[in-house]
Amino acid sequence: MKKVHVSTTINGDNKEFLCDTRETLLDALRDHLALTGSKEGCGTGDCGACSVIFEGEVICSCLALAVEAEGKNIDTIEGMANDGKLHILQKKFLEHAALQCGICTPGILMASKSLLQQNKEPTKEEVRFWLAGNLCRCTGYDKIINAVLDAAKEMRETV
Amino acid sequence: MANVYLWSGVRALVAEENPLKIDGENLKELLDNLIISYPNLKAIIQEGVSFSVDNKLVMSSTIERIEENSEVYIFQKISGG
Amino acid sequence: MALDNENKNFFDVVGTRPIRPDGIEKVTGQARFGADAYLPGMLHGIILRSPHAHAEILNIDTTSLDNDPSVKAIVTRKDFSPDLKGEDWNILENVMADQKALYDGHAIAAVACSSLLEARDAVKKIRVKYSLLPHVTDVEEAMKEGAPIIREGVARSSVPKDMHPNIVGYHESGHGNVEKGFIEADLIIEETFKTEAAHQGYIEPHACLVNMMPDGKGEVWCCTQGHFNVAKVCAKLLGTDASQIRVTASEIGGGFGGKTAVFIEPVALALSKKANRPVKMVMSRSEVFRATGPTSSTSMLVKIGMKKDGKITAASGTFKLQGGAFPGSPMAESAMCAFAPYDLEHVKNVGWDVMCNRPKQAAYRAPGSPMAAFAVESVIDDLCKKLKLDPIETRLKNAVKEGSKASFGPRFERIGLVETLESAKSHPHYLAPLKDGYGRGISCGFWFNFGGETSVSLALAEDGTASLSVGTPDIGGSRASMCQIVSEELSIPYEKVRATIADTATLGYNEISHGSRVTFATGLATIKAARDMKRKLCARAASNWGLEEDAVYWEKGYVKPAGPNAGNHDPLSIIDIAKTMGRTGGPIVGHFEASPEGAGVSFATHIVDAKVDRETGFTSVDRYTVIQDAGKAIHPAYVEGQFQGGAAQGIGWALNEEYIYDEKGVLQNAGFLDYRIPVASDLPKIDTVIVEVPNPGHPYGVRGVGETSICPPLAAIANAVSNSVGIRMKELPMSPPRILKAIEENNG
Ligand code: FES
Ligand code: FES
Repeated sequence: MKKVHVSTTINGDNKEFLCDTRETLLDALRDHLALTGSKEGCGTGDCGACSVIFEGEVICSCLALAVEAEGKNIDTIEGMANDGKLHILQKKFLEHAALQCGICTPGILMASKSLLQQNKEPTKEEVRFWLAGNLCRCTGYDKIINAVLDAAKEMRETV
Repeated sequence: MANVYLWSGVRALVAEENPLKIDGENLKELLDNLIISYPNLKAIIQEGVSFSVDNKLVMSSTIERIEENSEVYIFQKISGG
Repeated sequence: MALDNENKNFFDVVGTRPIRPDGIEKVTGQARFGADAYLPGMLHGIILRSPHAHAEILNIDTTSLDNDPSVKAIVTRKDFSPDLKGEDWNILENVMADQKALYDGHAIAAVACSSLLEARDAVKKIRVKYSLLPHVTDVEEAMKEGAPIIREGVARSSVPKDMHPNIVGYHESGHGNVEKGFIEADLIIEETFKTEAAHQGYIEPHACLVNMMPDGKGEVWCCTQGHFNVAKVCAKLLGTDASQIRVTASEIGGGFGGKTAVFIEPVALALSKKANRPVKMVMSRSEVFRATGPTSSTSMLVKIGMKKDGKITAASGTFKLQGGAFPGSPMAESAMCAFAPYDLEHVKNVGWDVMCNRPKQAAYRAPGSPMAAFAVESVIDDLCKKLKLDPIETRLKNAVKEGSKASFGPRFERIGLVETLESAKSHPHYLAPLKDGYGRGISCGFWFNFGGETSVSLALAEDGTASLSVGTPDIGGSRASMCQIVSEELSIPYEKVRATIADTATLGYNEISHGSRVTFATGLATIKAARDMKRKLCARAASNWGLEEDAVYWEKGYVKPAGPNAGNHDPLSIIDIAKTMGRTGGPIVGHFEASPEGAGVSFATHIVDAKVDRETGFTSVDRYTVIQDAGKAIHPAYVEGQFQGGAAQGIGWALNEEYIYDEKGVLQNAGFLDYRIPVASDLPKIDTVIVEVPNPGHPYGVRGVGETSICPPLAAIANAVSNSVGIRMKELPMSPPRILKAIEENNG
């Protein structure tokens, strides 16, 4: 099958790639653009390990087609730290030991970032429900929730 | 001579003696001597066993030293996750 | 110098919570996991799996792929070693079926193509002719007369004669005379319990990238709990030498025991060998569910007798575990752990290993123990209720201590069960009044913990910093703990230590990261390697000063002359010695290679409040507390993380997670949508208390922590649910349909 040419913006950079129309956005990120920070835990939209921010909304990149990236703005985990400076969420995840194996971490960070963009002062409950689409098998979530709440607090204080 | 306790499931094979009195400077010698005295234990021991020597759990290392009158328990091999 | 076996009680770095050394990579997406590796020219491998639970494979027809240019290699069982026996044969049979498909999802053949999409298309074109056989997936059904026999002649020699051929292992242990003990009881309760299989559910599917050279040298990159074991197994299955296969462990996205087994690496190597190209294989989530893990499902019978005052007079249990179509379920572990928390005069533990048409069970956190605890602790709870006794006081009355005879034989060394129970008794959770409609559940749990083969190497750099190479994959932050240990021993800053997981060609053999052994065994090895380095630093300083080795001593990062006879020398720091080491005798490296034993057993007590909605059968967990003896917590945050993670997995297993087979023996819920693991909104805050009763077998007192945390939750939740709904729940998971059924049966 002939491949399709896609031009898109990822983490602010212009990117182009060729893909099969059956490939997902996650496949394109990982296999064509070497952005392997987004993970595939299920491929069916159930685990959130592949979460990216697509035109401002957090989505499962395993459920989007690669060709849908055409002309769109996409943020991935690789663009979260800025100029070598960690995002407050990243810093808080480290401080709170909010990761064990770390495979869920990129997805959870992207989903949390999107939460804090829309809700500067989420409650514990709101964080738990917002992250309900992101599976973590290692931590029991407690330290993740604490890290997100602490990051939200620090972000409020720094602006 | 060490006192050797087998799990009850295999005691029938050694004529109900419990504990068995077996010689050996370390676990390996003890197992060798055990098999010499009770050849029908050979298959069971080869299928995998773990130990405790004077209450210390020994999962596989057979160089563990055995003292006179040591208490040695032999279990079916235990493995973890 | 007594450096070697000195026990430490006061710490500078151990017990603090530094940022983990692999943290930045993990929060920025740069850490490389199993599926994150690529090689030029690599192919993609896919496995064809049986859609049948039990079938004879009559023919595998690949002719339709003969002229397909995208297909670079096809392998079947013929491409693996024909001379394996025993467990090696079992592993191969699970990796690739021989004559029969033994479960839904069993590997039949594999192809490699230049793209994943092509490989997916190609594998569909393979035609397999099966002749269906009757199947069985339930442990009790499998032991009935007339049940289909999975494989003849596999029974271990310990199985009594005349048992069903699907019973392939038997365990019996205990002491005293239970019949006599039961006569002394005021109340005896005997109940049967069942649990379904649960999957380890690591978020990262199995993945590998391999390259087999024409000269027989193979390279493997994969996510595993034991890369040395992968090398060993691959070599055996392919009929080559272990030293020819070099395995590098990637970052690992969860394992919990499930990544101690080998599944795809030998297949990828066989494909690579045929195609002369690198091959990458990544399992889909449904393959993970159908063909890897899960733990055993069980059927258990437990009988306990108690005096009016709460003293247990006798206990017996029979634990029947199916381990899939292979021998090896952890039934002996179930039997040995079941009554381990209690000091019993009369106890009998029996275990049966049963085969079914299901995937080969793989270890899952404290394999065998959680289910047994569910049965035992449920009965204890019922006894307490009927005799109007406090559940914690009753457990305390029977709890094992140092010197108590364990239900599995020997006497316990120093242990911390009583401490966890005392801590539970005074915990605000236990003291808090129960909310309306809620039930409270208590349970204890036990696990052994392991040592095993361990080899580490600690190299000093010229600037006085240190690189530690270990051979145990880091499944939960162990590199942080190891850096803390080196920092503690050498008195150099934590940040000046770098820990690496070395590949199989770099270090001596290391047993798998399993059995909670890493912090214990690799930690012990790291302490000893650091002490070895200190000895060498002392020797070097002594020789620089022209002294005998015993004329110097080590203190907090410095070598000093020992007393006035040694002369007047300024202390030498590690940096001083490191700087000149090239000229004064060469590199300084500390080593440890051995199989440490004496891992301390550990106990936990959990408390949970849960409420059942009688309309829907749905259970909500409101409050959860884990109290566990860690011996010594090196990095308390990661110890808490292990406690919380184990509890969360236990909650899932207790309430939701199960393998559901249809009448054809086909798995019905091979995905995270239908096999639902707990999500953030399902769980309450999981509170933790780290109890520290030092393990006498470790210089810092460390016990393993990774596994015991999953032992009590099944029982604790079952007790809470039973208390909330007023009916004893005897089957897991306590999913809404099961709870509604129990309510209905109770009413009718
Ligand atoms: S991989 Fe996309 S949701 Fe799981
Ligand atoms: S840290 Fe392992 S899955 Fe979340």
